[in-house]
Amino acid sequence: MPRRTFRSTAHPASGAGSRARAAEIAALLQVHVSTVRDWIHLERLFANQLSERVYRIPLSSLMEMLGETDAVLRRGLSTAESDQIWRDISAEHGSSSAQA
Amino acid sequence: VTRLRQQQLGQRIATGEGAFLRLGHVDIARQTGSPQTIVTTVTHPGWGAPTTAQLSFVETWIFEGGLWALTKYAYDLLLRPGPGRFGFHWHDGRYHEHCLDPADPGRDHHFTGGPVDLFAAFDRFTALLNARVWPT
Repeated sequence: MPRRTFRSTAHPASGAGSRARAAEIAALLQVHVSTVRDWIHLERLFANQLSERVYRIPLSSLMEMLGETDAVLRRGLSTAESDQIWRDISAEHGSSSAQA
Repeated sequence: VTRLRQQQLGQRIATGEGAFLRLGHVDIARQTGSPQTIVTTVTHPGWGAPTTAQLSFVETWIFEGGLWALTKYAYDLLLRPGPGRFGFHWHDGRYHEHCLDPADPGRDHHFTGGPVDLFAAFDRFTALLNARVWPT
């Protein structure tokens, strides 16, 4: 039974474009970077803190602070769709041992 | 076993929405009645930027004895473009994890797992997206 370990590596989702630096947000909004840090500390702007003074701000977090709220789409789900989703998920294990 | 009152289930969904919005556009498809499947898809980072990951949270709940009981789930983080996946599943009576290393996609990606809460899974996925550390 395999066990997972962790190793450091960059992966595609960590690439530029998904999260901005505080300085980039400051430049975009034409405010001082300390203002952006204030927003973070006041929890007006959500950010991931990488170290004491290093933050990465998701674009969605910035848009949320700016009042963009149409990021959630809601729809109904039929029984047939639900059944199909679970069939697809279960089918992944049809030919392999899940080792669970 | 997770059992929630109707109001608690609604609160859980609302809390999830707020958290998921931190990562991108959110799409929620929800069945009515019981059993009730709720599928939440998060496109990261959203807002017109190139998609670098998609998060999927699928849960099915059954209403019994006045409470909603979680009966199965599948929480996944998928890198875009792939390969690359990390997931926590409970279905067909088994808990397990999926971990598809982008650097070694040919390796079996099924692993033994245990119960994982929706928000714990979300936290793990967020950490993976932020920390540049990929479990192998």
